[in-house]
Amino acid sequence: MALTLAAVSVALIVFAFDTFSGYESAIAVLYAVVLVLVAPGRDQRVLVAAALVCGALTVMSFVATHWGAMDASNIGRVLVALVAIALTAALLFSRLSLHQARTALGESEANLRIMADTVPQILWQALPDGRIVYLSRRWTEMTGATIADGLAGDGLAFLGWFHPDEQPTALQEWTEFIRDGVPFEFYRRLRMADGSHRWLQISASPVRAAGSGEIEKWAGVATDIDDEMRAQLTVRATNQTLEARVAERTAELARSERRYRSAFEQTHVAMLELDLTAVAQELDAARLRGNGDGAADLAAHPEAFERCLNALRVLDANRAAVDLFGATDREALLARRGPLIRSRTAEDIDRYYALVERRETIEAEAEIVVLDGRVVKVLFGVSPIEAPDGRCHVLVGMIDVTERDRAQELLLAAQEELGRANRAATLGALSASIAHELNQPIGAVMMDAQTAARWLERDPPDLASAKRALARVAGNAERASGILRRTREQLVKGRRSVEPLDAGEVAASAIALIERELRLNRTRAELRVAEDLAPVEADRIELQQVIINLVMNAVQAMRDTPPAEREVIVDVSRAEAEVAVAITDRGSGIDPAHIDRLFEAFYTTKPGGMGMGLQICRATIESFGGTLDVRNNEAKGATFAFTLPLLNGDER
Amino acid sequence: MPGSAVVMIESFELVSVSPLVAIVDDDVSMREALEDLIGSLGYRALMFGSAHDYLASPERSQVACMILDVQMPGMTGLDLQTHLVEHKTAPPIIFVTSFGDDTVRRRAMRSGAVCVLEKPVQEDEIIGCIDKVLRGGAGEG
Repeated sequence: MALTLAAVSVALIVFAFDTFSGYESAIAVLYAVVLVLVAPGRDQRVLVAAALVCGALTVMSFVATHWGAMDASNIGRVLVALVAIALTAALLFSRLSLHQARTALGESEANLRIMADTVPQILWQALPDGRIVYLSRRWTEMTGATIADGLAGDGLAFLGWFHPDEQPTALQEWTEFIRDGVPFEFYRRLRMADGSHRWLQISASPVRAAGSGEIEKWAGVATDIDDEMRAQLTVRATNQTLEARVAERTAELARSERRYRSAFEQTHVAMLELDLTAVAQELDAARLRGNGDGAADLAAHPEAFERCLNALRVLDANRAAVDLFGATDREALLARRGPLIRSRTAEDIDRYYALVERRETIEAEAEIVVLDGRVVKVLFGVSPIEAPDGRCHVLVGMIDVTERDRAQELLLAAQEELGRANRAATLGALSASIAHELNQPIGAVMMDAQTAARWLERDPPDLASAKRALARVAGNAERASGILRRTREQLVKGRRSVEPLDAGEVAASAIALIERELRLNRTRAELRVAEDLAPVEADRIELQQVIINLVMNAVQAMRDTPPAEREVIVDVSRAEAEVAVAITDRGSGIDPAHIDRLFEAFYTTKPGGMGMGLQICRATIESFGGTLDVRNNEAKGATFAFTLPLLNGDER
Repeated sequence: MPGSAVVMIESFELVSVSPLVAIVDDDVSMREALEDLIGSLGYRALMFGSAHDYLASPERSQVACMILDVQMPGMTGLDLQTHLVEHKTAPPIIFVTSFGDDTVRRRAMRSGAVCVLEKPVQEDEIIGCIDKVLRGGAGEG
């Protein structure tokens, strides 16, 4: 303002002097001073206007003072003045332009700096070799260190703020990025003012010279992405955990699969996986044909059931199964066609329906025909298993029980043999002792009888002596009979353990014990046990022996009967306050002439028989309080029947 | 045979030298039967229930014949025979045994038994044995 006032004052003074002094000089040159005063801080247009005003004032003064007396010298002076004003204006004009440009540049630079310092990133610049030369103020805000600290160490000190984990490789990696000479981006944790570390995304681009394309410098930015990074790391960790879990579970499943596979492979139980899909279709078809009752339809059409059985396929088999079926290898077994089980009963049909439609687990015993035609007795279990596409797969486990049954048979036979040997030995010892004991009185009887005869043959007969001898005969006979009676009592008593017994059960066990003899003699035994039996009081072993004895008698009585007719019926029934047991055969019966002597000791119709069996049987039954009798049947054979009183006279 | 024996016995009775027959048997019925048999033959019988009873008897030096049971409790018939043979006091012995045991028979015969008879004893067999001893003994004596 002061300069403007001074400029106007100077202009008025120069104009007044030029117009009114009459002093012949180029006083108008002093207008240049006005321009100099006006110029600073003004717009260029103001300068131009001031120059024009000064020029006009110069011309006005000239016209006013020199109108009519214009000559070369005064015109020359006025022109000098005008030129001086113009030159001054021009000079000032250029200077003003320069000043304005400078001002604008300074503002722009300040703006950039403000921007650089306010963005939430660290801006940086580096030399072509990677040494940092500039860091924005954000560096200090984040790290708490001065910019100078960051730029120290020949421009590489900033690396010292990286996370300790990344320190060892930081310089090498930085150098490698720079050497590649292409824009790069990486992530590092930076130590903050409070000592914590935050993730930064550091990106950089090379700035190349316009002409040569040489890298002049690197410009870059470091952005705090800690929150995002942590979130991402969390997600990644979660994913990894999930993946690890999935992998773990998969491995577990694989292990479990391997384990089952190896169990399947290595077990001694024969295992087969069967495909029953086609079987299921046949069963369905049978159900349709049978109006809902497929079992009836299949029972009526054996060929349909056969077709059904033929439809099964072996999918898999383990080593034990290959062995069981006598196959050379697994493939041979898988190629096998046809039914597995030999029987074709209604029960078999029911089992198929239960397995396929109700998906039940089945356990049973069966005979199967193996590859070399042998029949093998197996104990098997079948369970439906998961199968794709609605197919019907089952797992079968089977154990060969042929050997077991054979071993059991051998065991039974051995037991029986032992029992027989025992009985024979007992009987042998018994008969020897009986023989010895009886020999004395019998020897005496003989001698006495003969001596009595001698007394009688005398002449005259010595009747008194004969009578004495005969009396001794009677006494010794009595003694012999006593020995027999005592022996019989000993046989049935002494080792007795009387207990409540189920006569039906004892009869069943007795028949089971001689099953082998029955089979060898091709004789069937039928056991009929009434349902309302009360327990009897008897010795189990002895009762069993009696029944065995009577059944074996029946078997031997039918030796000459055609095998088809050889049948023993053991009937256990309730009669009054007793249980009645009848053993009926279909042999030739008993000669009526002998039937009354049958129970006498040492009476036998068998070659080599001791004649003790029936005698002992009767004595045994009588010792239980029952009776044993025999009768010939009306049609064929004989019936031995005995009774046993109920326990405690139980009348129930 | 029996007839001639009777005649012979009667001839002994006439001279009233009735030979003494010892019966050693643990069974009383056998003892009684044998005693009566011996009596019916016209001989005298001495009865002993065991070998020890016999050895303890003062009359045994007069025994002309012995009927000996093999199976006896304590000292058996064979033991008694052995003992008597060793002491050279053995009369002629007729063995009676329950068992047709060949070993018993051989042992008894080897030690000088006259007969080994099995029970039940047939009358003619034992009478034959007694005759053999007593008639032979009488002939020699």
